[in-house]
Amino acid sequence: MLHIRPRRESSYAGVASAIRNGPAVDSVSDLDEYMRLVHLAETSPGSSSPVPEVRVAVLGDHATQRLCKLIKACLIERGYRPLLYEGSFDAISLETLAPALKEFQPEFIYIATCVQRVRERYLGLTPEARLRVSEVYAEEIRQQVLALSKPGRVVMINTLALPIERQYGNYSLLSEQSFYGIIVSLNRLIVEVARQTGAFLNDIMYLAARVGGSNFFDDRFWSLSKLMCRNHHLPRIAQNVGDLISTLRGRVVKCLVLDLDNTLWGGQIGDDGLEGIALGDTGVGEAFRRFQQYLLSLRDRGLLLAVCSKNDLETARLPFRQHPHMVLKEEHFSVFIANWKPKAENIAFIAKTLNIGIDSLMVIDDSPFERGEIRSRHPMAQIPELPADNLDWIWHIEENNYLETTALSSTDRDRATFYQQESEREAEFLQYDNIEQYLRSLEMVLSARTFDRDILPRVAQLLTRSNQFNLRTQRYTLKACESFAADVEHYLTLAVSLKDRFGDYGIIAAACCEWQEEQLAILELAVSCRAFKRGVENAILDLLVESCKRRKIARIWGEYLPTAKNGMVRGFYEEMGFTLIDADSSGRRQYQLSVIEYTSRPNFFLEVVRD
Amino acid sequence: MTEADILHELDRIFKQVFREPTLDLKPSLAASDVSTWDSITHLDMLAMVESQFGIRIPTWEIASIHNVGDLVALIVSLQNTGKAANIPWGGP
Repeated sequence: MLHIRPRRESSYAGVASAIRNGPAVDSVSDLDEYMRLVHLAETSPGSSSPVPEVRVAVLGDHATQRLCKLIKACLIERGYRPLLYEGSFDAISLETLAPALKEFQPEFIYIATCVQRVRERYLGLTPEARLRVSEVYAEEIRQQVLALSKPGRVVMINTLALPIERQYGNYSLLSEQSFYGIIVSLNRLIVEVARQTGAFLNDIMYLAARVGGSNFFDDRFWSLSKLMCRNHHLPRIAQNVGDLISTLRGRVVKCLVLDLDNTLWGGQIGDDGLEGIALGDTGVGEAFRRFQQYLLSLRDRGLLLAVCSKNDLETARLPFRQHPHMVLKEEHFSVFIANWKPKAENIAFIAKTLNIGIDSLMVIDDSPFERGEIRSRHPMAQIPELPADNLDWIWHIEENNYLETTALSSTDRDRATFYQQESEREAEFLQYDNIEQYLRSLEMVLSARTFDRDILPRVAQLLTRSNQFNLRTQRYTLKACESFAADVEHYLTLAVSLKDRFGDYGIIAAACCEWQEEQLAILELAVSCRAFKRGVENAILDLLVESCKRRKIARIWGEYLPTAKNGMVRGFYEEMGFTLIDADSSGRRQYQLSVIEYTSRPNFFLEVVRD
Repeated sequence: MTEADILHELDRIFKQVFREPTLDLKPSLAASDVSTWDSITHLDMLAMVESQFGIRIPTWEIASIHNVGDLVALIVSLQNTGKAANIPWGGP
């Protein structure tokens, strides 16, 4: 059962052309897309649908009926069954206290604000009071976020589109009083609020800048209906909400699979030779070079790169070794495949080698034929329909927000290096007769600590991203992890890191548990796919049992909630000696373990350290 | 563009926005005749009209379009002169 559908690309080509040719009239295709989404929301699937539910509240200071419908449509397209709560018109602070909102139990709240409301306030103040309007406004948002925050819930706020009027011309940014200058500094404050509170951002400032303010705003829509922008831009705002939700639920691109000919350079290395391919400082060659630089910057962010090309291996390697303008080098790639097999087959191999799902792969290939073939075999892979002109590729990828992420941790940046160590480990594995002997030879050291502040981003990332070894898939966010860590009386948190003689894995497992009456409940236990089959989970259970003994708690409660991807841990609790106490038809299984009866599973760590 | 051409285009837009496949588009058709024609879909429809006919409808006209006939007359006038016929305060 596949839960998450592949992304439907927005047909926003019209916007690019509008920007280049001047925004005289709305692009027909944007409006068609807008109407399509509105109608999609109206024909939502019934409650019997087997897809996962998501409960979203939208509290806005402008008319949000359309926005809510579009958010609903975006979530349906991403494979969810959305339930929407729309707050009363322009009553965000009141809504934070509303019993109806509390009862609705949203897992996701979007506080939708617009620049028009700040303008109203600004204009109503004396010139002296205007100097403080951005701080006052940001503080209100902060209070709203704090009032709405709680574990297991995500709050999203937005930046503001830059206004058209400046009052002081080009001097406006230098003036402390100009409305334009105030919005620029307010956007910085909003980012700060998000950083401090753990809220996420819907970057409307960016969206509006990309399409241009004179295209984005339509004062008639505001005057007549309190719509914050021209209606056909609302899908972009809704798309950001949908993207954040699916990213938090683990759908992220982890690896870019790249074609070579006409993708990394112009022409075909096999036919055109080293001198014949287009790659350099000017013209078409410049665009290919810049695309390579863009890809390298994504690798620096922690995305893996892989090559999948129809070529002879030696021919494919030639530019990497000898072309003076190549930006990407062979060592930047975690997997390098050049052969004549169908690409779909190679792509399955890449996913398997890297131990990630096909849906974490994004395939960049200039050939519509290859894209079609791959898509038909792997509908879950992300395969952008790239525009014909390679100059537009970065635009296309960015416009569709393919590379959404919710946190950046140092592990992200180290990930690429890790996979190189991993291939050394695998080479070594072949020399041993059995797995035990091999594991011992790794000289693994495991250390466990609570969710300390410095590691929170990585812990949150692990909990939101791991799909396979994830027992309840609760997707606790950074904010939630922070509150667990702060309350040691009620919660036990374990962040586990692993080292061996080849290198440091960093944090590869996390557990959140709650001290309940007479038992310790495992709210979440996730292990990174990089650390499977090393006995990490056995050691974690030992640690939990030890904690229970110290607190004189006799029982551990555990639960398995099935998803499309966590089948590998369905039998986890049985293997650990737990007793099944309840199960239902959805596949949900509850277990308990008597602490005295627990016998430790063998593990092969040189040392287990608990800070 | 003749009124017939305009009606033909409007027919497509109305079916798309109001989702009434059997809608009979005639000049006397009014908002009160179409259940899905409300203040929100009114703006959706006008945005499509503007895009389709390459015009910009002034704010004061948006609220004074009550039926298809009004709309056709407005489109004709905006296409021919670039201006709406009845500027409420006498116009510039």
